[in-house]
Amino acid sequence: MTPRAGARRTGGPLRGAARAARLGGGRSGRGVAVGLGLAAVLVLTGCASSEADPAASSPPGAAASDAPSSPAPPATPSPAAPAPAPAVGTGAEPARVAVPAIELDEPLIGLGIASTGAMEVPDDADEVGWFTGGGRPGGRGPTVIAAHVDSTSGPAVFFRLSELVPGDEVTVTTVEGTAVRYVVDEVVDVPKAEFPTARVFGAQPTDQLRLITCGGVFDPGSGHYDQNRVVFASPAA
Amino acid sequence: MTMKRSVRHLTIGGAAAAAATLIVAAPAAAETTVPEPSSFTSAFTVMATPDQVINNDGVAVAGEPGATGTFDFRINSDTEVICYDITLTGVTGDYQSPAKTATHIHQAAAGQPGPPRIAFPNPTDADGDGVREASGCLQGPFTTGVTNDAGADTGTGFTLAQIEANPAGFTGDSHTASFAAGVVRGQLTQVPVGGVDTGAGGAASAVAAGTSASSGTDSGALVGAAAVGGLVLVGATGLVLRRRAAARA
Repeated sequence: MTPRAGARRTGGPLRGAARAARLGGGRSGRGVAVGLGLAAVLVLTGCASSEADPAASSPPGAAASDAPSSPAPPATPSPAAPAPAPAVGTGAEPARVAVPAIELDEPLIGLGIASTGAMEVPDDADEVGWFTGGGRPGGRGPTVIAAHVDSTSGPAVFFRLSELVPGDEVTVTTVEGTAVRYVVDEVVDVPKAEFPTARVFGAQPTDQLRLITCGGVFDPGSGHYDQNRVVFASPAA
Repeated sequence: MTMKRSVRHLTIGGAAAAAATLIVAAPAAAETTVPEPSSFTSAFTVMATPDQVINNDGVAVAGEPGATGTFDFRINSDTEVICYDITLTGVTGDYQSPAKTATHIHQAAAGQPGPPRIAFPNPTDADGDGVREASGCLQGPFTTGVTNDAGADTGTGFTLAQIEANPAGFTGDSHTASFAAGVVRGQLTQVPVGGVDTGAGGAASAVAAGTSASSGTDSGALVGAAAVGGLVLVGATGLVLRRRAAARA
């Protein structure tokens, strides 16, 4: 699946933030001027990883549309049972994510891979997206969902992700209307320079869920946070 | 006098050892084991299963029942370095392959045979738990130990940029004596590399506080938050204005 128009490549401006700056116009001259300045300076970069160097050579064919959208192969027996056993299929595209513990219930947009090799993120600070080149709910492999912790002007849709703890429930509803329930196993903060790519995005023989946003310290000079907060979840029993 | 002489001998011996190390560390035209680089240009993953195995004639030949493999690769195509994290579960018996190892990336699309391009160290069961693992980084040029009809090693001329250009044209697999065509196999699919760009700083102090509280990390996070406090305040003003506008609308 090709990412929809809502996705952006790393480094682009956040629509939500720009909207906030515009809304402030004409109401408070001083605040607006500084606010626009912020939008011009800080919005440019977000919190991209230090690994995703825009100057690095762009891998040809790096766009998600070039990668098979479903890496999960046909059903195979589980390791525990040599005979054909109830197998994990390919799942269905996710359409919505709900996390009652933080009062979150949002539709999902598709996200691919930017030319830098990093994951695309939503254009809008209020949108939540899923990585279309990974797993799907109900299928084999991790479904990876990401959204912003903040815009240039304040909290964004995943701001409260930091409140999640092991045991909290997350429900992902597919385009077919199936609700797949997950339970949070672990919440970790990882330095972007040492991002655990294989653990977050790597193939898995089982259904898994990851929720990602930014964390750690924001460097206004680079416009980046130095960490990612990653929530690991597995299907509810 | 005796002591001086022995010291001198040791020094010479040390130099000789260093020279020998240099020679060993840089063999011509074969991959070398290198430390993990500081950055990568791309990443790929493989879900390897027995049902995807294809023999050299292009015929589907099932691998070991119940076995699975995950192959995670990170590539820096500028420096020709590939880092690998390979896990095989449910694989039994000795490895076997005409190549110099039995764990490979082949240039082969799904359902097709193709020559090996990179040979990785075979995963081993170091813990005795039945799970075989291998991790590390290799720098090309690569050799496989398999020669083509022209007598050239199948790694000759291969570059990691070819994987980046068409990941679906490459497959990861491993071979054992009992499953010579492959014990498990799967195609490469690209995944993002590095961190995810999900913030712009408008709530930085609150984010830093939340991070610090939840993970118990160093106080540097709070100091950093304080340093950007001025900017955060301005950002918060924007948020208030936005909310007011929304309320009027």
